[in-house]
Amino acid sequence: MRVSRNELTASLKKAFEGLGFSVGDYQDATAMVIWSEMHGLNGLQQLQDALPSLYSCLCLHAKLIRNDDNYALLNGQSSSILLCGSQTVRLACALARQQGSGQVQLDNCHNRRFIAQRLVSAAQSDSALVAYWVEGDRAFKLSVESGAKQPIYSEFASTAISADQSLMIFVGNDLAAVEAKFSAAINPGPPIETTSPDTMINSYNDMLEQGIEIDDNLWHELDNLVARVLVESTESSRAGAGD
Amino acid sequence: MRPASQVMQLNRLGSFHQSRLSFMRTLVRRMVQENWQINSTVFDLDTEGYGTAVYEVKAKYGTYSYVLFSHYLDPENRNDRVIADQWDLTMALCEGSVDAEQLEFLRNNVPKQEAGRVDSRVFVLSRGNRSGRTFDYVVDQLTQGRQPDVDVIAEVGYLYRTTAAYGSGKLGMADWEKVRTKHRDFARPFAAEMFTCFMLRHFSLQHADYIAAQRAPKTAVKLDDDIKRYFGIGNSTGLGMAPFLINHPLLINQWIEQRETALARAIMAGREGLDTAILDRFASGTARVIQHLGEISTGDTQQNISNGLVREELQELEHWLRAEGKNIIDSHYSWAELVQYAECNWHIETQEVINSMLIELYPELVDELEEMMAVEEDQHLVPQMSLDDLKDLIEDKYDWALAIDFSRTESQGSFWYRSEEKMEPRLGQTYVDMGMEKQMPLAIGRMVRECYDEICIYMTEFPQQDVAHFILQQPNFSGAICRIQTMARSQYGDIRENLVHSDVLPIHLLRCKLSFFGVSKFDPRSRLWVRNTMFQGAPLISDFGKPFFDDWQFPIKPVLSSTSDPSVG
Repeated sequence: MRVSRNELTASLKKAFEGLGFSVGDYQDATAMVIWSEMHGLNGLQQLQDALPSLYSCLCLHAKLIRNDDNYALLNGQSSSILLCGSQTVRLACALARQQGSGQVQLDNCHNRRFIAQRLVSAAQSDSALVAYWVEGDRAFKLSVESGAKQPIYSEFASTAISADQSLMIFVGNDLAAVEAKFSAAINPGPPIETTSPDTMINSYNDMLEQGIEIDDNLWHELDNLVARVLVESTESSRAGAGD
Repeated sequence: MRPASQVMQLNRLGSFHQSRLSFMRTLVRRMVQENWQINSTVFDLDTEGYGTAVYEVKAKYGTYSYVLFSHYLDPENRNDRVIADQWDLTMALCEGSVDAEQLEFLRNNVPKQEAGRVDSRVFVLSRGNRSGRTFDYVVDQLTQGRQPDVDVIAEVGYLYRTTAAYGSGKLGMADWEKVRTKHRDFARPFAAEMFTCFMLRHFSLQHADYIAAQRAPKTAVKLDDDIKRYFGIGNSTGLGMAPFLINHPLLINQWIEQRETALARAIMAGREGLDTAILDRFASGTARVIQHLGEISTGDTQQNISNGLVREELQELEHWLRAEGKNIIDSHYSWAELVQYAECNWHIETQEVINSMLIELYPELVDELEEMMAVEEDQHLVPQMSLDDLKDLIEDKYDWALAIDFSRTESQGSFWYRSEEKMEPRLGQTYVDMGMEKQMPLAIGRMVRECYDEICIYMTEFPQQDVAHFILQQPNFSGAICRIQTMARSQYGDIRENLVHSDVLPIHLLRCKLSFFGVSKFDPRSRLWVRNTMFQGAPLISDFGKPFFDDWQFPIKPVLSSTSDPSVG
């Protein structure tokens, strides 16, 4: 079935609320999923894969382990980027504002592809950002220029298979400077695949025009989560609506 | 412009009336001036008026279709609440022309409303119920070759009332961003929803004429055009509208800022004094509002008292304007002085009526603001802000929230929740009703208070720290801080009231939003829902393209020409 972005937004907010997310978290998580889906990065499939662990995640956030000048290390406590992503990017941006550049490493965190929307959102406040992580034999990098609405999304062949669940965020005033910091720390080699901003824009426009295709089972599962925030209707409760 | 501390009080917001910037007014201006062509391409109704109608709408930038299904409804099943599942009329506004296949798809889904699904070619889904008091009466009169009595119409003001107009992507419809960017004719907030109600009004008048003609082809007459203009569309609005105002603070800020800008421009225009022409128009407008309020029929005691008070005060104003006109002009009296006098001496609703009337006087200064009513609801957190600055900001911008004593039982005597019945928002009584643990986060004042207290505690240990570090420690406050920082950059937006107080009056929230829609004749049915009238007094489709003086606010009974007098028949 197809749904509109507005409709999916309303459903996801309540579904995440049903999972126990707080107001800021369910707003951010919803934005992350929808952005990924509409820009062609399979946000709904990622969500479907993530849901089993979200049911039992206890809504844990990242914990600060270390903070030295412009570098910070966070522990994601095996939680999801949907819960830790905002904190991580915001900390990196704050460090960059105070120190000229910021670098944050988030360890032990899942669903890292959702971070794209958080980077784009932060880029609207005069920050340039790079995110990097490794999944098995693949590495991924997202780069966003200050003020840009779409990132450049690149995939690399990793030199070694890694089960590491880390995410690195680099932030500065302009992308060239941030890329230089990134290259100095990590050199993944040439990308094997790059998704251009134009491809993402086309995907976004198509879904805005036609609606977003969502698997019936996932929609049904979201409905069940939404039901968690609804209150049973009684004669007495109808009085609370004006009867 | 007036300060937020004055404007954003709930009782003042609940005293707002429509203005030139209200969405119905701007839509009608656009349709008439651009001469939209609206014709029925399908009018397939049986003799009782049940069937299908399709109207093709040729607007300035595109073509649209308004599709309507008329069904038999047992009066026993007629229910205006959102939980209803049957209606007299159901309709959809679609992009482009509708072919037979799409019409069939719509026929299978539109009558089901929330239980159906449509697609992104549809902008708005809506439904309407007949007025038990007027519809049969009007059709009977027309059938007998007579015009209906205007006094009977004045009691109700409409033939049908709409109980919902869904847009913005609900139930598979087009996303608001698609409508805004692709269809310029409907690129203003709620323009498509208002148009759907306008078309319901058009159909309702055509429907009455049609059924009368079917019943008595030789003797039936058509409704007189002046009477037609006096018919609006009824509307029932309940709590569903209330959370919208809290959850779209930037949009509400935008609407109120434009209205306040319009008022400030009107007051400035009169700063050097007033002339005879403008004073005459103002006095005539005052007389009209007095008559309008006198013609409102409501069973709500409080509203009746309020209407009476406003009428008395406006009568005082009109008498003064008529008696002292020359002195007012000679003494260089200004609108600012009148506004100040009203604030010191008159009822809050009188003040806001006067403000709407002042805005009305200066279309050349005001109407351009209609293009500024939309804004993206995009909140941003500033992570590098020091907690010291955030604390100062809360103390400055949210002093009203910090002044509320939430330790008092009545300060948390209510809670808002969504019912499992169509997710209808409802108001519960704390520790009495079920569902407190699932309450909606609409208590902005309490949220700010809790956030402020946590910041103060955290700062005792980390006085130099920033927001980013605070939300690592207290992640559940990120939403609150995001809202506080965003709204601190705007003037209006947050309603300065404890919305979970035991005595909260949600009807003020509804009235505020409805005033921006442009409705009139508020008829509260409780503190939780209100009946009102849309488009009463507005031009008809047959008036489009003709010379037009945009002056249909505060509608009054028409004075009929002799040819349309009921007694002539």
